Amino acid sequence: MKPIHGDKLRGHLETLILSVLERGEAHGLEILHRLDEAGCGLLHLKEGSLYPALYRLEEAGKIQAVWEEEPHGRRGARRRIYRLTAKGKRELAKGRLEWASFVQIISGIVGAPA
Amino acid sequence: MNDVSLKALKVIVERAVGPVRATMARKRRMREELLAHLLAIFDEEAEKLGDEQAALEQAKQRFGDARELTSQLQQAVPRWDRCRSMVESMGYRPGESAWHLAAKHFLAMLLIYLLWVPMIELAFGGLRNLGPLEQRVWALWAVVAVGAVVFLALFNVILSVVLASLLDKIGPILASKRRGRILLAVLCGLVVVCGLVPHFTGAAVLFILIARQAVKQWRYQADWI
Repeated sequence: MKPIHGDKLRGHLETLILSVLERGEAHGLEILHRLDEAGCGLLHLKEGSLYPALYRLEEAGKIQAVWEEEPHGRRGARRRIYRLTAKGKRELAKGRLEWASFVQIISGIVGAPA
Repeated sequence: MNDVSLKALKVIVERAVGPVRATMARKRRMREELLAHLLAIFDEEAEKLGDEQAALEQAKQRFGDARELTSQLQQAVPRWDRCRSMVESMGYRPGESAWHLAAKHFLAMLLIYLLWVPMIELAFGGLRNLGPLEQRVWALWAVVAVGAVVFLALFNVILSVVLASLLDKIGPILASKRRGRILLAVLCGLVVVCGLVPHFTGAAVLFILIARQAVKQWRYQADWI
């Protein structure tokens, strides 16, 4: 299978993040590892792009973030740990329905089974 | 990891976050989180490749284009935060020239004073039917009022220049918490001294706020570099 690059993920990234956070709280790099694992290494996302999406989700109240208590490693920069909120869970359920309907419609047009 | 690599990672973060129009607090949060991410991917790559320079290149590659990230980060900044950052930008920024600060303040004050013009016009509008003596008194009052406005605007500009020169010279030492507090205490003393003239008190309070922000910025800059 061909890898999927950032441009094609745009518009779906927020739902993808919400779905990996459903498995439990995580910091940015862990979210990327989970996405990579779930996408069998075929999702190619520029890692910096994850953060604007996280900030948007946080601003919309769909996820919550707390600073980790101790800096990771020896160089003082702390990570933020993200977790899904009740609003985020509702948004994820909505996102799944939208995705299912999108796939159904497009596959009907393209003529390829979902 | 050596200091050169750490600095190179900070440069990558700064290229992305620096141009974003947002409050200092929000940008600080972005910087720390993005740096933590870059440090983690640098470590991953260094372990895999066994070479710091190659790891640095790979981390940069994985992180993505700074300019693109800047625009994505900008879109994630709420409107109210952008407005707050505009107000914040009226304060002193480390390294900013005294004249630049003074010009910013002069324009801001001019704008504030100009807001009063329609009100003065309204007040005078109702007085057009007065006798010649009263009209002369009001005209004199107008001259005094305009003079006072010009004087106060110039006074504030002079204060801005003095304060910015002072902060520029003593800025680096403000990175120390104790010295920063001493400066704020001195400025608070100034407020008490200027307390007799209401406008001077207002100006002194404004400059304390600017100095307080400058102290914070210098301290943060010292930590970041």
